[in-house]
Amino acid sequence: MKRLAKYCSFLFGTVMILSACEKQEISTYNDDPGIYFTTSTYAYSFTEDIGANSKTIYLPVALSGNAKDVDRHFTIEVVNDTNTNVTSEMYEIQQGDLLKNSFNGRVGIVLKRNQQVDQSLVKLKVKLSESSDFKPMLTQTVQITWTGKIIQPVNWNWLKYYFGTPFSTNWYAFMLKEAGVTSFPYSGTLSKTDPVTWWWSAAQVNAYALKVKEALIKYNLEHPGNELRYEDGPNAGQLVTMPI
Amino acid sequence: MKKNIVYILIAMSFFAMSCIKDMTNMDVKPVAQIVIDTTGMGLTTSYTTFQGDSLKIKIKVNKTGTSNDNLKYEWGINTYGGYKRIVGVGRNLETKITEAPGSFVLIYTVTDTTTNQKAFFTWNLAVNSAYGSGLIVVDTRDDINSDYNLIMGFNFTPGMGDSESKIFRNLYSGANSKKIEGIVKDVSYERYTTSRFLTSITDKSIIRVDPLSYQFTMRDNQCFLLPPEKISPNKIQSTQQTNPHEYIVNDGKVHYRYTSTAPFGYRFLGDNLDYSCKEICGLQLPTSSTAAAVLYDEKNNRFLLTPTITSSSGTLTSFPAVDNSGVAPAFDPRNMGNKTCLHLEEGQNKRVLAIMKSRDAAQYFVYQVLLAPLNGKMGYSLHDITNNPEINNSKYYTCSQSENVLFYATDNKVYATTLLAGGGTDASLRYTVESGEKITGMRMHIMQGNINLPSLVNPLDFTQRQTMPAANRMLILSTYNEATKNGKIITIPLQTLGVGGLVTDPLYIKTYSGFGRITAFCNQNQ
Repeated sequence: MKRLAKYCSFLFGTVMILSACEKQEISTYNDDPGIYFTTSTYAYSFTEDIGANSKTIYLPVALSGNAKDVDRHFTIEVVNDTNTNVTSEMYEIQQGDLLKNSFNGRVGIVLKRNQQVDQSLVKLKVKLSESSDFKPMLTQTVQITWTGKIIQPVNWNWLKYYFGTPFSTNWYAFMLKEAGVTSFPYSGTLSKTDPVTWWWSAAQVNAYALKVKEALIKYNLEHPGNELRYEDGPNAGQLVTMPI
Repeated sequence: MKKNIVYILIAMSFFAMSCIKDMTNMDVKPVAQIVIDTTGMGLTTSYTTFQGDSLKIKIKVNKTGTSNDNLKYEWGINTYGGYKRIVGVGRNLETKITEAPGSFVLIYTVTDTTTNQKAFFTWNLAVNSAYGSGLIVVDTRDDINSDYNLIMGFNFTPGMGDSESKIFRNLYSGANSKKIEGIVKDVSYERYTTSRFLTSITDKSIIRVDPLSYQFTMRDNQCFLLPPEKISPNKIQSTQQTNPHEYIVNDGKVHYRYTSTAPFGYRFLGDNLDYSCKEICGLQLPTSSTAAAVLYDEKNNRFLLTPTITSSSGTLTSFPAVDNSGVAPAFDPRNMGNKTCLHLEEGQNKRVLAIMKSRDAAQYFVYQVLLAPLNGKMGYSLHDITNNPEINNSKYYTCSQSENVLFYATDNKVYATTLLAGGGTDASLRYTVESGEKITGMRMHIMQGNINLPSLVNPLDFTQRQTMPAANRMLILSTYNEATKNGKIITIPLQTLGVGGLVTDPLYIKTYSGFGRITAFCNQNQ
């Protein structure tokens, strides 16, 4: 009986040891794609298109994972908290697209205009929805604001290099008036996913900035002691200066 | 006990076996190499071809143990930015080069279809335009319209022999089925990598073409990012030796463009006094930290500095206040008196020569102004040339960067005046055009090309001539004979530096004729 137990133990041990010799398969990368917004805020003012009743904006997303040879889609949904103060009639959310072989995609939202929009700043917060194609990651929400008033445009992070960092509504109004435009559609980042809206080159915005600077110099010469100052914003009361 | 030891040893051997690295996925099977044999076939590491020419390459390929029937071939022309064109799928190559002029890499790929094994061979491929480097000559035959011509030859085109020359005529009208409206008064060529621009100005228009084809590309307002209030150009100048960029004076203001950006930017802003200019001179090799160009402000009788080459958005700046400590500067660039500027050009050691004339008197001066260092001593020298021979009849001015000499030309004579230390000058007649001809333009050549000069040992023996680069050693004149309606380009090597000593032996002077009245010319550096 003892011997049988010994043989059984030996056989069991041998089987266990041999099982350690199982052939190893080389592990491969498993794609687990995710997407994220490349901006956390987006602001639009209907001052850019006075006669318009709606505007389609495009929120940019980026892919984490491999590009694929097929178009893929994603959806976003509204976050109904204090950061959303408009009813669903005031916007239309479209399907998000990430086109084949691309690492960048976008989702369109139609922003609508009414009296409330013209007189105040309305807010809408959206977030990425999980789908079979993508998992939301990193920046998953965007705070959208729109109005009929002058507000800091979403591309100020680029305009500030030409017009100065502090934003002020009177300064922005001066810039628009002297440049003779309703917006400065230049953004080195947003142009990647929405080149139609953000169609200016750096050379163009530089040219307009010089034109505005020329007007600012003239204004200050014509208003000695009353040079142009920021009326609101972080540098309210200070003289307007330009970096170029 | 013995049995137990045996069992333990067997068990240990199994344990040891389990430690052997699993190599079953890593079998290495030696495969015969594909051999692209370039030896003994006269193959080079690079090819240079003209656009539209054929390129033929014969090559040997073999692979031991495999029939060549299993090999697949691909010839691709590639360049930076993802461009790729398959130009052949046979073992040998025979293709027509349609690529735009530029630098490419020709990649030959051989694939064994049975194993997907690949072998590569690459060559650098330079594609030149059929219209290569040369001298663009703009002429008119009716005093109403203008046209482009191109001279390619020893004086202007690298690689062309002493006796070789080609003249392409009527290039604009040939490419666009009409001539340029108006008389072109200045022309400028600028190239940044593969972006090329040839821009002409008349009194009231700006016309740009693609110098690879001479097809019209844009005009007037299209040439600006923000259209100016008025199209009234006076001067255009490119700098090509580093960071290629271009200036245009339009309606008294200077606009700037650079790299591959085609339109000019917004005008340079002046200071509180504003400015109005006709002439500007950009240095060919400006430093990155000092002014790239200087202009003369006719409104306030002063010189102004542009921003550095890396700043297209800064404002023009005044020169610093004069510093009279130690050796006082020759003049104050901020206050030039009642003078107008006839010409600005880069001279020796990055000094800019300004040929000035009193507005209310027949007085002529040469001022040499420094663009760096920025201090109160930038008014380098002043030379009164009022008493120079025929200076009152002078129409054209130029200088070399290799000597401190001003050339000025009347209708039929070229004088050189050495700008002596201390402010004096020493003028000499250097060239007289043939009877019946009138000089219509004059420039110092500053780009590619070659000249011949007499041997220093035996100057009378032409066979012992020396060949050297033409840049800053060759004066280019344009002349016109009203009776014969013949316009000429005459190139005269500068034999003796320091005194503007133009060569006098006609064997060394080249003439290119058959043009209308030449109104402008410039280098084309393709």
